[in-house]
Amino acid sequence: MYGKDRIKSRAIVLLWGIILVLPVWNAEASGFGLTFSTNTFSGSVQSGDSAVPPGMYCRGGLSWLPGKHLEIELYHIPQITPRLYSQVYFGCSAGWWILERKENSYLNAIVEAGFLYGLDRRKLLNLKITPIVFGCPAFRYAEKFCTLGLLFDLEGKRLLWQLQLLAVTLYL
Amino acid sequence: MRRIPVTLLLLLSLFFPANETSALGADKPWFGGLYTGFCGFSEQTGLPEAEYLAAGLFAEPLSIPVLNPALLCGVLLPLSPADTGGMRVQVAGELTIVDLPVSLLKKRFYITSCWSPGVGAHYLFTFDRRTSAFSVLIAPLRFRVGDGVFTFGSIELFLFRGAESQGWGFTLFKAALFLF
Repeated sequence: MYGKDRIKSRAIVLLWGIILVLPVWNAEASGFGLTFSTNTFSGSVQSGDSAVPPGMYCRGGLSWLPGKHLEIELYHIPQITPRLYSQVYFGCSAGWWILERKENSYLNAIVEAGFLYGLDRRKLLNLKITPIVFGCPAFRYAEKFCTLGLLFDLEGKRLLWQLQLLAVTLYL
Repeated sequence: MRRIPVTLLLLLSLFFPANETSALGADKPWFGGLYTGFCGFSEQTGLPEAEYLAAGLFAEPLSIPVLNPALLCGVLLPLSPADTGGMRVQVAGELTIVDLPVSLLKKRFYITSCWSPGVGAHYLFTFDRRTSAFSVLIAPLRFRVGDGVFTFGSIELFLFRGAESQGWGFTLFKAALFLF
């Protein structure tokens, strides 16, 4: 059990190390960034039961913006409380910035589709909409407000809500 | 459940833009404002397992650059899963140890920012006062940006809470904006 915990601790350190160091290696490539956000899972749309353990989660990962509209994200959503990293979801998503990203564009909105895989082997499909985005790579940061998501639990065949009230991406 | 719309209104009011002002000193026109944030607690604290929304009012009467005190009063509302029975009243005193300008942040956020680490003491209790808890706050990643104070990843250590065991709390993000 001790060995398993030690491997888990090292994996967490390695994961955050990759998140923090990898964009520095790509500093010359435009559109790479670190993304952090709050993350709230709520109960099933139909019954109110939650497929994920209750508690506080956050989200941290990498963002890449190729072209004028596309956004690719790799991230993880760890449970912070009541037990640190007792549950983790790993995710990837492809988003589409509604308005073309220009040097002087500041306001935007994003629709996204993605996939989440949990340590408990739960698989979730993810659709999200972000109605308010301030900033873009030209400003070196972006703030996303009130992202509302719908998760589909592939095994439980149920829908869940997801809310990311505030997300910040720092571009390098 | 009646308190949820009020909390949401408080939360939405934080998205209104505000003018840039001097962060501290005699010219600072602000006395206090609203705060909101997300936090959670370890199972040892005995608090319901949930993500909590913290919202309330704060006052920072002195505006001094070293050991600057602030008072906070608000509520903790379990958001996920929603549970009004798990609500707590939060009364707190916080001390900003120092305000140090960080020039690196100005390049990214185009506004003067200060690193403002803080410590504090929080007292939580239910509306019927049957349950209470006392915690000590350590907030190393706190920044005063314009007319707001933003905290990332602060830790609360529960020292004692009657017959119940101790534990810890974690605030993922807290924004305090001066409004009055």
